[in-house]
Amino acid sequence: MSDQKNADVARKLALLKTRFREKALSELELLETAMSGVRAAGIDSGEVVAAYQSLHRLAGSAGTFGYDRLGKSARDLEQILKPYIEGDHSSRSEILHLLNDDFMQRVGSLSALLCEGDIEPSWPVAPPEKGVKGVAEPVVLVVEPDSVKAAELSGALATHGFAVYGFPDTHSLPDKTLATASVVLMRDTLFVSEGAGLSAKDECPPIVCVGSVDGFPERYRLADLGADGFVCEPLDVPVLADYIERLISERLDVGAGRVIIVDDDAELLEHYSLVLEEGGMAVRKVQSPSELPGALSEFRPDIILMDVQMGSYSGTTLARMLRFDPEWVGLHIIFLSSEEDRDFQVDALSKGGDDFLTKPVSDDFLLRAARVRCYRARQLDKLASRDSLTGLLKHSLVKQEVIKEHARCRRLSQKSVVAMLDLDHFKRVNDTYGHRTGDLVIKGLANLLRHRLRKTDVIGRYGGEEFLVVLPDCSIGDALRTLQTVCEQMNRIGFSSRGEEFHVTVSIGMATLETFDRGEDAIEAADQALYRRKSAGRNGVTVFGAGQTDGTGREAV
Amino acid sequence: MTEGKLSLQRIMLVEDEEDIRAVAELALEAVGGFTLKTCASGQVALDQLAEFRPQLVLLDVMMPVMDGPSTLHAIRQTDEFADVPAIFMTAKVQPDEVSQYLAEGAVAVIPKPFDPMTLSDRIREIWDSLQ
Repeated sequence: MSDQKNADVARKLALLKTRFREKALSELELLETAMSGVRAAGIDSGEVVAAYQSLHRLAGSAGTFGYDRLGKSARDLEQILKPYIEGDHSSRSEILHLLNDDFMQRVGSLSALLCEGDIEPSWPVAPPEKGVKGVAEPVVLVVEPDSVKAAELSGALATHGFAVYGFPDTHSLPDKTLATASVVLMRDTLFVSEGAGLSAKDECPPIVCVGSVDGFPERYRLADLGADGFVCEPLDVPVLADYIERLISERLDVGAGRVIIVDDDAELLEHYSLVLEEGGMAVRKVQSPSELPGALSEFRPDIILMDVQMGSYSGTTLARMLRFDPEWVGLHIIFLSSEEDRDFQVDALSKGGDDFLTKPVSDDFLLRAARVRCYRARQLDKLASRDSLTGLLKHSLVKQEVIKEHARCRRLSQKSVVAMLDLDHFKRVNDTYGHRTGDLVIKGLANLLRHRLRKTDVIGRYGGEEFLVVLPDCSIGDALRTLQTVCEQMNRIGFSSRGEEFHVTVSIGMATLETFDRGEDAIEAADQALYRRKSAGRNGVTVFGAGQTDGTGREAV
Repeated sequence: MTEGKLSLQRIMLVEDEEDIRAVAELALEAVGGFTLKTCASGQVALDQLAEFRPQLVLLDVMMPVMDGPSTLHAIRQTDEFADVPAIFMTAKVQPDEVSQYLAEGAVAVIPKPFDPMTLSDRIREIWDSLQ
């Protein structure tokens, strides 16, 4: 099939899949309600046969739409009902035996297996505050039976820029909501009793348990049941927010890998790329090795998957050749080869490869292997370009971004804004509460910026407690509003140390980027505005040139 | 019916589930290049037989009112389509069940769930083995 046709079929399949999921969701809901009814009454007036048929349909159809696990579970449940259907006993005790707790729980967890997609979550406990348009706050679900605690926690997390939704238990948590979440926070006792079904799902976000008892056996138990994290009460919200942030960024890193596949076999090339694309990765296909250098510069992959022998070209030689260029010395090159001889493999690695995948490789294995390696490659790349504490760009890189953006603005006559941020009285925080607490405050602001700004905005840690931000295609008015929100929210975050709660404010200076001759001058102007804000009482935003002219007599705004 | 070595083009699918009909259309028309007629029930299939003249019939086994085997039985009663090859599609694939379906006059059984991307290949294989 042609690419075009393939894409068309895939698109239509995805549509059918969505339709199937929606129908299956309501069907499962009906099924569960009906079975609960029969169980409660102890009388079956045909509902069990209907449930049997419904499960049979799911067993036969779910797999076709990619819900293999749902199909298998439905099949198992269908088999449980089968003897009952074929017999003619429907006594009360028989019904109660058939629809026992285990059965009901398994029915209840079926819809969990449909957990995929991107439908808007419902029931907001703390509606997200309006940020800049186009900003999607990470969704955190709080599953907590105690409504007071749930409200407290939701409110506290919302100030950190998360969209928080609360649910009293896992049954009331719609799967479509679960699928949109970045993290689930869950009462540990609840997780022990009903979390297993949740964490078993493919699309389930990381689950962090919240508990009041902390000990080795408790932690071990949660880990054994599949929890991704544990935090002990009383909760330190900034620590928790940072923890959530880390889980989210790890998760984001996994899906969005970029891969170049080099293989002279057109069919294999097509196949591998389909597998990886379906797994959510960005793929560039290269059939002729001579096109590889161009594709590399253009596509900038995390990793290269390369066949070892391609016509007259050898993969190992190509790898060695790529390493000529300092830019690609750190690039991860993985060979795909049917050669199982370890000596040969080691030899190939010594010539510039990083790893081997032995053909034939299953689709699932290929995808997982590529994901893991992309993830590692990104982690390493981050170490080099990102500030280790905040995960933001390092000083030199963010400055480069300003210069790049300045050139872009000039070229396309667009408006952008550069802003300098500095935490107020930060030295006092460090002196009073220690550096570890100080670090948390810095991370707090970093995370807030990440949530409040757009994906296209550039955020860097410029100095100790100084941040530099570039807002491309942004008017000074919009930037002002956004950054004022950041100030307000920062002020609302309660940090605690040594039993004391305290708040930290931030001062911000900003300037338009394109009105300056050089990017560096815009940074300098933002810095001057910041200085003025500091002397004007801190905690707020000052625009360079607002209400005054700069040294050259030119209105800067 | 003596279609001889004709290549397979016209397939009739009898399936009560709308989702499966839709995905089968994609699998057999877009992917496989066949001409497909889908029927939501055995009765509809019987009504459409003469007009569509299928070379092959795919039948879901479990359908309300008239199930797959009954539908096939009724097709076998017609003069013109008494020999049309039929394939059952079912989520029940116990070996004894398979042999039972074959005994009822099906040429093959395709287990459900099927993979929409390879369904056509499987059907062509079955068709070729009949020629």
